[in-house]
Amino acid sequence: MTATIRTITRRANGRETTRTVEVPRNLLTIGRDTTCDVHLPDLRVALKHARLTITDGAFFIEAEGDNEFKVNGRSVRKFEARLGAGAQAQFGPYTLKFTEAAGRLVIDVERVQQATPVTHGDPEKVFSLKKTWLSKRGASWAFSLLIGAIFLAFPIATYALRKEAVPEAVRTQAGQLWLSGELSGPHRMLARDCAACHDAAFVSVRDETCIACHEDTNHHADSARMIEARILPNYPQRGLRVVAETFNKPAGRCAECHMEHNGADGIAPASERSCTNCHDGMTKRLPDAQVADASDFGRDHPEFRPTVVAIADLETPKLTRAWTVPELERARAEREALIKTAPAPTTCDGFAIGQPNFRGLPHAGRGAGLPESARAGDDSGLVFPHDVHLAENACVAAIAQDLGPKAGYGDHLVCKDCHTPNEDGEGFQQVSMEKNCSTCHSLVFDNVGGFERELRHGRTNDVIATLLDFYQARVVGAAVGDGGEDRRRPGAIGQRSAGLREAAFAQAGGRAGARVRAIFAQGGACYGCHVVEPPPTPQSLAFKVAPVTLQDTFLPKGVFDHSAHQIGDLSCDSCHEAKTSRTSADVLVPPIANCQDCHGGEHAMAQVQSTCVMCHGFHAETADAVPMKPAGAPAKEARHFAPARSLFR
Amino acid sequence: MARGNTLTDRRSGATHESFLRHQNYLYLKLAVALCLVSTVAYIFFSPVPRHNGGTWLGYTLGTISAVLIVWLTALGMRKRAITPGKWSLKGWTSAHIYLGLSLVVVATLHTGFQFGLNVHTLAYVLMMIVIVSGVFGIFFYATIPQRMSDNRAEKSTAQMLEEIAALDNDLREAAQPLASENAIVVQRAIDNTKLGGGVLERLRSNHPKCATLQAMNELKARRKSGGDDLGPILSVLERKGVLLERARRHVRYRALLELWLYIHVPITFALLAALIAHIVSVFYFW
Repeated sequence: MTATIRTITRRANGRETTRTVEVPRNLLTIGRDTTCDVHLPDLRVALKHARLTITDGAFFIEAEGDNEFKVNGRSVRKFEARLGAGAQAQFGPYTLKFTEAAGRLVIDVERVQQATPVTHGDPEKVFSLKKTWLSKRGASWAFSLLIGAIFLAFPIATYALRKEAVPEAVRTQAGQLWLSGELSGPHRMLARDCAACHDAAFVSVRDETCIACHEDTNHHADSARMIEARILPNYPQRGLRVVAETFNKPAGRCAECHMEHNGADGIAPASERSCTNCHDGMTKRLPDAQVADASDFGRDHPEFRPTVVAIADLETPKLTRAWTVPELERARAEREALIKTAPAPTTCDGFAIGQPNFRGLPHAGRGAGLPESARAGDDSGLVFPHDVHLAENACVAAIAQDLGPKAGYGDHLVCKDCHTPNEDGEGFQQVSMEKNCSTCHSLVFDNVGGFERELRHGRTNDVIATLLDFYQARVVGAAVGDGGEDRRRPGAIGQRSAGLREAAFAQAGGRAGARVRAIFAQGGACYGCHVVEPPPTPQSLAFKVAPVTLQDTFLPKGVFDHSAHQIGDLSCDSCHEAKTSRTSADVLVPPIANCQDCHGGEHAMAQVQSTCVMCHGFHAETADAVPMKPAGAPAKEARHFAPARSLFR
Repeated sequence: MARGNTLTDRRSGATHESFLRHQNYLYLKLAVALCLVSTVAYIFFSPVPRHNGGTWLGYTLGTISAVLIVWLTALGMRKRAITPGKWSLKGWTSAHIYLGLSLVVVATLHTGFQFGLNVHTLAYVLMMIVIVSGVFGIFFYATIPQRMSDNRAEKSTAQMLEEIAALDNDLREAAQPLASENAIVVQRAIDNTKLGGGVLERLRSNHPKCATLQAMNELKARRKSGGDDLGPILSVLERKGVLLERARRHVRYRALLELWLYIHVPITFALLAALIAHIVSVFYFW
């Protein structure tokens, strides 16, 4: 028997070539080895892969060793078929078709899977990152859309929608995304709701919004005048102003000074420049302004101009800022020169009660006899010589020693014996007769079995009535004999004549009147400290005490914190020349030079750096302040000092 | 002689001058000047209450930064149109690098060093990521092309692949007489050897799992135990190994040259989005 092996090769152009070999044997070898009858040159085929045996009318294939081949898609090790049955077997990429021709086995060998073309493909694909999962375009779109959605669309949508439509937590979240900086302490509660201040898109924060909460804040001055007061900007600054106006940040808005989103900084401007922008040379720009120029506390600040009492009155005293501290000091010196009795009395026997104001010096202001130049001073209506009270070896000191430590006194009076600090320590409680003077200047006029009877201070009519009552009762009592030792006998009633009674009353009236006159007259309890107006007629008892007004603070435009100055060897004397002050007209506010010893301007190198706001407030607190809104007007009509308009007009 | 002049110009243009030294560091000087002016202004202008993006200097620096960012992004469009001369692509690239780096100073001063978890700081952080990735780009572009050129040995990438494919054919031929167990190893070396692959794979400098290398090691071990004559196949495998190493180095260099751009470009667009949000938010809540 022989077999015919036909090896078919297909060309790329579709043409087939067939190489035919006759094998005159019944046993054929199949494999990669070149000696095999059926030569299959592919590495997936074993060198000696299988043997094929031809018998009568059939053939039989058996794999060598562990090799396998495929028949109908199944891996097998053996295969048997009749000749002419049209069987097929696969060895690696080769298909062997078995047919019969004239009783002989014909094997068609064809490579069905072409050899994998050995190539690594497109060089660009191999070498460049372009074909990896990495992407520029996709990632760019993804990132920018994501950021646009979260950081732009989300906040805008949140605020464009009605407030009620968005839960607070969501609004807070949206606000956080845009929050440019921490809010200042008091405003931090607003951080959850941007629209609390930014109530319209593309419109700068409006003054109305600020005033809605800060409705009681007074303005500093008229807003138009404040803009006039500003230093005329130079060209670059003018340019900036034009830009600011263009972008709708008009001058004079609250937010121009109160800058938010800087944490604790900025919301209350501390810099000198905030003030000196106007107050440096402002009198040139606003000649009618009542404020002196100031540009730096150390170098350029006007003298203090204390607010003193011009006319004392219990209800509406008249105050004045007519004089500066140096002018007041000159007047004080002049008054001192006029005082006749120079030293303070050393014993209380010679205490000059009853002498006109101790030294023969009339009250300042009311000052008959005082030259005009010596009148500058505080006219409180009270007579009070600091020197007499603070003298260390005079009569007041002797009284203090008598009262002793039990009553809180030392060897002599010191400032704090009368001047008690306020709770905050910044200033002092007002001195009063009841708290401070009456320990020594007693108004007790009677003592009945240890119970004292005292005149009511400050109530002139009450004093007169009390005295009249008291003395009339005592004198009448004595005269009509209803005293204990002069008891009437039974049946003696009505014995005393009406004439006697009348005489007793007249006598009582006369004596009581005399006591009243004595109290108000020179040498009386009132006269030493007060100005007494005599009654209109000699018979009348209608004495009047001139009203007293004690000035709480002589520098109401500034704040001076006494407690902050308890440092080093500073004492009251360091600033206040009280020990030598002889009249109450003296204003003991120190000259500014005292302050400037330690305090310089914002950029001082050798002194404490002190800005304007260390002492001054911006928003006026006084009654004549310009209100942020017209008094009584509803908040809607609130006056704002800068027009608010949209960025997109 | 106009023609001659043109020729000379072209030749001088052809002499290599890197994008860093372009025009005698013209843009480096410009960038340094910009940084100095910004810094001096920042130091001498002390706004109340403090430096931030909302002072006139802050707005000025912010505007400069925003314009620069948009212009720098435009390089992506500009690079697709190659023109010679003063405004050459190289000039743009040089300016892109130095002015881009100057943003580190200008934009940082714009922030006034106020940072937080918000869109404003997001824009700043994205900008810094873009700049840092750009610095990597500068480094790789300054160092890798030379090494790449040395490595390629004047062959094109297609030639590299063809050489490897040819060796695969040689392998197939040389393996014909081998016993099955050896032939399978060679077939694996042909079928399973991979070039390129994933991003990390490309950046790796050694590839112990390479099928060719493994086949070589396996056959070397078998040579000692006798059997087939593995000498010829091993020499082919070794040659293939050398070519593979070179090709893989090329892959790695290309990856390094390209990878930073996959950060630089998408983050730039993220930055543009954040920048728009930043600017809109400022004016929205003006």
